[in-house]
This record gives sequence, structure tokens and C-alpha cells, in this order.
Amino acid sequence: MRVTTSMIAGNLIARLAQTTERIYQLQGQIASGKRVLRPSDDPTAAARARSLHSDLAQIGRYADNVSYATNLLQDLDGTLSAIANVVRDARDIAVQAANPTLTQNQPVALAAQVDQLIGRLVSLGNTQRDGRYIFAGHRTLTQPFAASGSPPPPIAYSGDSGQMQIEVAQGETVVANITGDTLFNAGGAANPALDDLFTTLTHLRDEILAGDANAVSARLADLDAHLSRVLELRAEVGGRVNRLQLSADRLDNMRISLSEMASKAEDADLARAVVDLQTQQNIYQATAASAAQIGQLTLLDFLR
Amino acid sequence: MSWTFLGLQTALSGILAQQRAMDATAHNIANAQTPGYRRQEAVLTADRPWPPPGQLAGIGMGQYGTGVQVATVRRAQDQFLDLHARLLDAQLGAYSATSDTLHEVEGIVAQQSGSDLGTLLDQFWNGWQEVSIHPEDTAIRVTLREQALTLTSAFRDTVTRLRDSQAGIDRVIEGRVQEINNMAAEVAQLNGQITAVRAEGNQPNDLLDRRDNLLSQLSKTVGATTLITTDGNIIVNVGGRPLVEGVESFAMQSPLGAGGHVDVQWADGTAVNISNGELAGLLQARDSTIPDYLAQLDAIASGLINRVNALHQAGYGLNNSTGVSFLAGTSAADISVDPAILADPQAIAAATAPDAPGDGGNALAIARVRDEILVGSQTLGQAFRTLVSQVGSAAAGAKVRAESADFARQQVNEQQQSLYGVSLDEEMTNMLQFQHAYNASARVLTTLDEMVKTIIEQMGAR
Repeated sequence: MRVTTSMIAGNLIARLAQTTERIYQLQGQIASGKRVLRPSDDPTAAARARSLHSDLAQIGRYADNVSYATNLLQDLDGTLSAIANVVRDARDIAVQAANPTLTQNQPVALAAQVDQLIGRLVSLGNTQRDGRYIFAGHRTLTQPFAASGSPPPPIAYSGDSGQMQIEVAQGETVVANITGDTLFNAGGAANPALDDLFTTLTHLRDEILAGDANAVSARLADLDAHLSRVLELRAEVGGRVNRLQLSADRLDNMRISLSEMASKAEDADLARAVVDLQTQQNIYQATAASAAQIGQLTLLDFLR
Repeated sequence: MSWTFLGLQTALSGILAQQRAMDATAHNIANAQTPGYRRQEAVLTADRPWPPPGQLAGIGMGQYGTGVQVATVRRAQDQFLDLHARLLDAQLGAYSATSDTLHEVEGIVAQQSGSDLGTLLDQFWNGWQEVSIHPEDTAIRVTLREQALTLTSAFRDTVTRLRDSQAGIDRVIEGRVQEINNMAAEVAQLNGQITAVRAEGNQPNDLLDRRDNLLSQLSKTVGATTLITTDGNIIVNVGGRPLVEGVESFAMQSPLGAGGHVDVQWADGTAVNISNGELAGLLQARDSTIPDYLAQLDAIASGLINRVNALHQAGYGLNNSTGVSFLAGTSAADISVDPAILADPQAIAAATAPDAPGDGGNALAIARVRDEILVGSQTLGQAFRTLVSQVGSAAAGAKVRAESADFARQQVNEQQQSLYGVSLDEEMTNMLQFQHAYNASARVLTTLDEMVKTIIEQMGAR
């Protein structure tokens, strides 16, 4: 082939430009840590990485939801435990009061204790978290339990039976609340044959005051029914917390494996990029050096 | 029977011819780096011998040579190679324009993962999730509203930038049409000059160089094809109609068309049928590729608006409002957050029933739109990622095509350079040859001079 003067220069410029472009790409990879900087760098890998990032965003959201629901349910468990203790205390008082050999002042003192327990129950029923009433169903901004009259005040439930659904996986929700009507059997929501817990305790108080030991003994069965319901609810809440723990573990595993896949799809292999960069730099130097050596030579240099 | 001064004339013709050859060499060396310059060489032929046939026949000892003449100054040319090169120019023009435009579009549609529409969409769904678990919290509603504002403005911004890109293509087309007209007029003018020079029996080498450069530019810009007529003139066609015919050129125009973009037309208003060259690539991007991407964005935006609003209107706000839209607009170009939501975040309908501030059920239903099939067989996020992937693949494909067209053009360019280019070593060698030949002719002249002098002086002295 006839090689002309401008071919040598043109070829040199093209080769150097090629090497420079490659060096530019490799530097971009090393600086960003990403192999795929634009979708056109590798459309398949880029699409995969974006899809994985979207999944990761969703999983991150679910993980946040799981941890929030777990917090709510653990708090709820504490409150249920306090309520169960109140019912147990009431039961102990009932057992004492059922003893026919009580002294004159004892029934009054025991009745006063029951009144205190009722007050404590109302306050537990109105437990707030972050400004919302946790036993009010969806009516979280309205105090669910209040004495509506005096005396003896029946305690009415003004919440609803709304469940607080928290999504913890695609299409899968956990209920993060217990409504006051179920908890206290308000309006017979849990057991139509049974009074609500406040009414049961009010009856108990009145029966103790009346010194009716038989009625008090009979009331023990009601108290046991209330206690077992509260304990069942506690067990249910514990079950939900366990389930959430499994969800959290599963989400964590998914997050790790999805992150790995995303990294594989889009991250640069740094060791390889650095070696490639070194190679390209060597090529660049060799090309430039050879150009510097032979580029200046023409026949002119030898003609005198 | 010879003639005393014939040798002097012969030697003189040698001197003159070597001078002309040296002139060609000097021209080559001077233009060694001129783009589009093609090497020229003086073609030397022996002069007509004496005596001519038929005259003085039979009296001499055959014909005498009478020296050398420059038959022509030849320009290196391979018409087939040039034709091939122009075809590749047209392809390279089209593919480069497509590749450059798609590179730009990719930057608009497929921004870095993390700030693109897909990520903003994910954040929007997560905002609804957050509202679903804190429906009473106004601050979280305000956060969702901000996320919605970011998402909707990103949709509108993407549309605006794609339309800006189309408008940018319009400006380029207007400029190119002007350049095409100028080049066509110059080719027509050169056609006239070339014919005139040829009529005088001369070679218009440098005019041909200039014309070849223009033809190459026209191929690259608008995919012009060339026909060489028997008289050596050139007809330049674009889309089956002549742009240049002999000394006449036909202008194009670029008026604003019905779609708000410029059309490329002949002077009589018919559209120019452009199928190759830079303009073909630009028109394809402007009229087909970008509108297709815009339509996909619209499908995603309208799917989002319709579905979110349908759910939102059925729900209840903290202020018990119902039937309120969350998003306004109908397409990616005008999607925005509904004024009612902007006025009062309490109107965000997180609840499925009135008087239920703790009910996030409707917010959760809206958050779950994330996984609903709404565009074809895809979710909104998938539809967007498909668009990104499509843009990325198109950009990657166009880049590969542009690079291989460039490579093919480089190959032919190398062949052209090899054939047409100036080699300084070669010119140096020629220069030495011409110099020696010149010196030798001059020596013949002085020797003959001395011989004649011998006759005149020594014989005359007697």
C-alpha cells in the first residue's frame, strides 16, 4: 500500500483518540465505582439494576413498616400486660370479698380498691402513643373511654372497630392495633353473653359493698372470662410480633441478595478496571513515543 | 538529412517539460496537508517525430524524435471509490445524527438511577405507605405532597426537555437547509467553470477537488446521490429530484409545518424525500423516536393520574372531604398536584370512611397502585424502566452503527488517502529526477551550443 504523509498523521491521531476514549471510560468507572454509567453502556444490566433498585426501595419500606409495627405491638403487649394485672388484682379482691368472715370495714376498703382499678382501666383504655389513642380503632383522635354520667358511671366506648393495617410484604398486612370494644368486651363485641369489663367491675364493687358474698363468688367466673380474653389477645399480639420478626429476617435476607445482584449488574470490577487502565496508559505511551521517533523522519532529512 | 538547430529545440522542450513537472511537484508539496487535495502529476509524452508520415518519405534514415511535451496534468482519481465514499458519508451522517440525538435523549429520560422518574415514583409510593401508617400526622401528609410535587414536576421537566431537543433539531435543520442551498449553488457554478476549462482543452483539477469536497458534504448532510453525465458534468439528486443539474441548482426551504416543526421542502412546496444523511437521522429522531418516547411517558402519567384519582376520590380526608382529586392534568406535559391538596394537606384522602382519622386504608390502597398492572401488561414503574431500557438500547445500537459506519468510512478514507494523498518522500524523489533531467537537458543545450560554435567560429575563421 502507498502510505502518504497525511495517512501517518491521521492514523496516529485516530489511535491516540481511541486509547484516550478508553482511558476516559475506565477513569469514569474507577471514580464512580460503577461499570454502567448510562443505560447505553449496558442496556440489559442497567434495566436489571434499576428494577432491583426499585425492589430494594420497596423492601426498605416494608422493613420500616415491620419495625414500626413491631414497636406498636410491643408497646401494645406492655399495655395488655398491665390490663391483665388489673383484672388479676380485681380477681384477688373478689376472692377476699367472697370470704363471709369479713370485718365491718373491709367491704368498703375493698370496694374503694375496685373503684381505683376501674379508674386505672379507663386510663389504660385511653393509652396514647404519639398523640393517638391506641384502643380507639380508627377514631384515634377521640378519647375512647369516658365516664358519661355519675354515679355509678357506665363507661361508654366511643371508638370504632377499625383495624390498623400495616403492609409488611407485597399484599400482606399485619394488624397493629386491638380495638377497645374487643379488649374490654364493650357492647359484647367479643362475647355477647358477658358484660363489658367496666360493668363487671362496677357490679363487683356494688356486690362487695352490699356484702353479697355469693354474688361476688359468682362474679369470679366473669372475671376469669375477661382475664382469659385479655391473655388470648396478648398471645395473639405475641404471635404477630413473632411473625414480624420472621418478616424482618426475610426482608433482610432479600435486601442482601438483591443488593448483591444490583452490585453485580452495575458495579465496576475495580481491580480489573485499574489493570485495564494501566494497559491503556502503556499503549498510549508506546503510540506517542513511536510517533515522536518516526513522525519527523522524511527523505528530506537525508537529502543535502 | 538532419537540421542544425533541431537538437536545440529538443533540449529546450526537455527543459520546459521538466519545469512543468517540477511545478506539479511544488503544487503537491504545497498542498500536502490541504484537506480534499488530490495529488497531480504532469504526464509527459514524446513530441511528434519528424518527419511526419507521408512527407519526405524515403529520403531520410527514419524519424527523428523532437523532444518531449506535457500532455496533461493528471489528477489522481478513482470514480468508483469516490462514489462508494459518498454513500458511506451519507450513512455516517444519518447514523451520527441519530446517535448524537439519542445520546442527548438518554441524558433526559434515563438520568442516573437515584434521581430519575422511576426512583421518584418509588418515593411517591413510599410516601403513601408512610401516610397509611400515620394518617393523623399532618407533617407526613405535607411530606407526601412535596414528593408528589417533585414527581409531577419531573414528568413535566422531562417532556419540556424532550420538546426542547426537538426544537433544537429544528434549528439545526434550518441551518443545514441554508448550507445545502449554498453548496448546491456552488456546485452549479463549478459545473459551469469545469465545462468551460475543459472546452479550452485544460484540466480543471483544483475545481474538481473543490466540487468533490462539496459533493461529499452534500452526501453527508442530506444523502445526495450523484450522476456523472457523458459530458463530465454532474447531476446531484436528493430523493429522486435534482438538486443540481448542470449550471442550475434547485433551492430547498424550511418553513414551519403543521406540527409546529420545520418541514424540508422544495421551492414548489413539495416535501423533500430524505432517506439518508444527517437530515434523515435528525428527522427520524424528531418525528418518530422522540414522539414515541413522549407517548410512553404520557401513558405512564395518565395511568398514574387516573388510577390514583379514582382511589383518592373514593376516600376521605382528615377534614372528611371526599370526591377530591389528588393529581391534576391528563398527560406527562401537564400533570400536577390538585389545587385542593395544595391548599390543604388534610384533604389527602387516607381514610376509607369519614370520621376515621386513624384509618390509613385508602392511603395503603393508593400505595399498592405501585404493583398494579396499568400500562399494557406492566406496572407504572415497569413501564418507565422499559422506556429507559428502550432508550438505552436505542442509544447503544445507534452508537455501534455510527461507529461501524465511521470505521467503514475510515477504511475508504485510507484507500483514498493512499491513492490521492501526497507522499513527501515520493515528491522528493520526483524532484530529484526532474532536477537531474532538467540539468541534463541544459547540458545537452550547452553541448549543442558548443558544437554549433565549433562550426561557426572554427570553420568561419578560415
